[in-house]
Amino acid sequence: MAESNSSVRISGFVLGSLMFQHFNSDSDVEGLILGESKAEERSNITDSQIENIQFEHTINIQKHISCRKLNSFYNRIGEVNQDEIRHILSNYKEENVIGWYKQRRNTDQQMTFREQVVHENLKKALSNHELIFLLLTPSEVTSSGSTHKLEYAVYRSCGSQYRSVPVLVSNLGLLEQQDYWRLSASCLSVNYNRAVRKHSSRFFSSDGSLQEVDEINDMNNSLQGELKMACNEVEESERLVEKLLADVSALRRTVSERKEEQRKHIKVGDSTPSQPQENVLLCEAIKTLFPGEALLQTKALTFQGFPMPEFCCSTDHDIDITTTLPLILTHRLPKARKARLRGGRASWRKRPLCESSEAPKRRKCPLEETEGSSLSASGSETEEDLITANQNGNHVDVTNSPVF
Amino acid sequence: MNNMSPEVALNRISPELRPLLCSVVRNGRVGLDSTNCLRITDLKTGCTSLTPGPCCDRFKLHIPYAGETLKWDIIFNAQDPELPPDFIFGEDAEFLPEPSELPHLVQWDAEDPECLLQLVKELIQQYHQYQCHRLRESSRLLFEYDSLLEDPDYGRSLEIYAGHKNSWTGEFSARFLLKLPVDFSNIPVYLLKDTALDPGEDVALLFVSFEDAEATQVFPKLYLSPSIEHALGGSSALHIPAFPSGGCLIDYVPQVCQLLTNKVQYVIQGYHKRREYIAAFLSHFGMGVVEYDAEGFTKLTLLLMWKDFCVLVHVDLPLYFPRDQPTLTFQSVYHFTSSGQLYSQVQKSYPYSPRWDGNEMAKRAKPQFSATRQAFCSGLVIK
Repeated sequence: MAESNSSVRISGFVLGSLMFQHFNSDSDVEGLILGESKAEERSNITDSQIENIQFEHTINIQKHISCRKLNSFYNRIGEVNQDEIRHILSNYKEENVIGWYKQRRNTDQQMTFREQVVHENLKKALSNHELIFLLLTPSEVTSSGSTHKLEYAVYRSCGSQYRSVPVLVSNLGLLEQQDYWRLSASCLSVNYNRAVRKHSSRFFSSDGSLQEVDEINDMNNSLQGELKMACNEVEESERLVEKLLADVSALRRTVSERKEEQRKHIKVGDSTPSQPQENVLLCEAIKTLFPGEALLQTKALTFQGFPMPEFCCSTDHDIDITTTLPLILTHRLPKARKARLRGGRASWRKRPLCESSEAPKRRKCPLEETEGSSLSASGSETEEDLITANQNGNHVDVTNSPVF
Repeated sequence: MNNMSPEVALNRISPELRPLLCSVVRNGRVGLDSTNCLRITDLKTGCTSLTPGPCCDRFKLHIPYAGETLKWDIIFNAQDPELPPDFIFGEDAEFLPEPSELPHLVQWDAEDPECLLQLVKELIQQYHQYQCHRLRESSRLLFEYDSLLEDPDYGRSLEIYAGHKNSWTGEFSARFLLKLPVDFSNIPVYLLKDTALDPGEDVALLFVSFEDAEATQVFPKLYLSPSIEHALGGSSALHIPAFPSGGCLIDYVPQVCQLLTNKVQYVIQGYHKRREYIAAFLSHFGMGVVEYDAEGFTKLTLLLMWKDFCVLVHVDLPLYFPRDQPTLTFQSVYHFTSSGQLYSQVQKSYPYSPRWDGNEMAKRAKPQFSATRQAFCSGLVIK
């Protein structure tokens, strides 16, 4: 299914120029129209799968050349004089002639007898069967002459009849333009073409396409590549995360299985219900070292890390500290601790070497005494011992921080 | 504005174009209907409003054709009066005459006042050809046209208007206007209207309207020039027969022609018969003739005397004498009626025969007058 649409476009400048010419003339005027004709075939794809082809024929009126007088390029019976036409055209080519125009004051918007004859003869003379005729008919609307109107239409022969073609005046912005521009408005002006040619190399590449368009396409391709790489990386990391999650799940399963086994084992040996294991030795040690310090004896902290005194352990674990944690008792003696502290920094520094050697000895004694205990000696040095040991090698300033 | 007189219209036309328009407006009779002149209306100008008048150079020309009125736009240019005019043929947008067959366009002479009128006539001829060509849309009507064309009496004086299709019924219609070849030259001049007022040609036009392509609705009408109509006794004196169903123009038109011809002959014969009658009465009643119509021979007045009793006898001869019997009016010269008029008595029925010649009628009139006079006198006595 093919449809054919024809339309004529004329710029506001050309139309205004035509009006200006006639308004300044005391009779009818006529002349030739220059421009170009473009045909476009559009195929619309629809769901019905019926091929819908539209032929759009657009005629652009770009310039007009007025005749100095009427009947200049034709005689009384409408025969066209081609020499006169060439003379009127001067530097313009006949191929650029797309039609002719007439401006008649106070007449009907209808082609006259001679205009039809001239039009047919002009078509033959110029070998252009798409030749158009632009008719402008200004007239007075009011008898006082205060209001005038201008009617204009383009006619094209269709067999023996003449049909009018819609005329669109191309201003700066066309309100009816809904789609993208498919064709650019061309211009016959020599000056215009010269200026465009001078600067076209800055905008167009050798094949005629816009340079910026090529660059943007390249950038787009690069972006696409980067995006692809990023996507690959994300995919890899996601797979790694997935693997790790799987490992974590497996480990959790293993831990829970072991706990379950331990529980079962404890159940068999101990009937008491399983409860969270408490470090009873630590609890007793803290109670011994900091009696009455609820904040230190608590085993629960808030989310912000502050100790909660209400969760102090008040259970007597029935542990003999003297046998289980003898070293704690030695540090618990207040006088001995104060004497050591009173010595201050100088005494610490001036302490003879023999005293410093006693520390390891003292350290050793608890080890011997508690040889049978399950506790190891590592990590039980006091700050005093550490500072003394360090003094032999390093000159360390003594602070007033509490000693546990 | 549109119904302006020709002189007013001419005054508004650009002076250079005025001579051309003069001949159109004053002498412009084209086509068969020469009773209607060409008329121009809607005068406009192609100049700017600043141009001082008169400068009108374009107008509408009303042309009677085939019972219709064509309205053509004629466009000149006041600034270039030597250029030939251009035309817009109104609603007939498809009418495009061949310019090379318009001699007065090819050899346009702006100095010749008759040039425009002649050009219009040539255009009318081509318009007629165009309308005849349009008849091809209906074979029936084309047959009507072709059959009339073959007859030299009718083919040369024929105008056809193949109208546009009726937008309501979609039917194709056509109008035929024929000039009937009837000789009116022998009609006595006195019967015609004042020729000074109506100097046009005496014509009889038969207008036939076909309202459909199959000629099932045909309406004929006879148009006579005013003088002929008056000579024949007015518009009601002549009635043409209706178009016969299934008939055709080539049979109908001669019937109408014959009817009209007979009527004209009758009128002419009546004139001669009346003249003969008057002449016979003048011969028989000689000194008794008071007065008579010496032009139309329609009236005669006699003064009769019987035993010193005088009576006037007025004889009125009708238009269709001798078919129609003359009327005798006896009038007393002594007696008046109550209204102050002379007493009179009309007698329409008396022995009479249209086949008598004038002499015979005059002879038989004498005893008739005597008999009637006696009755008239008796009536006067009774009164």
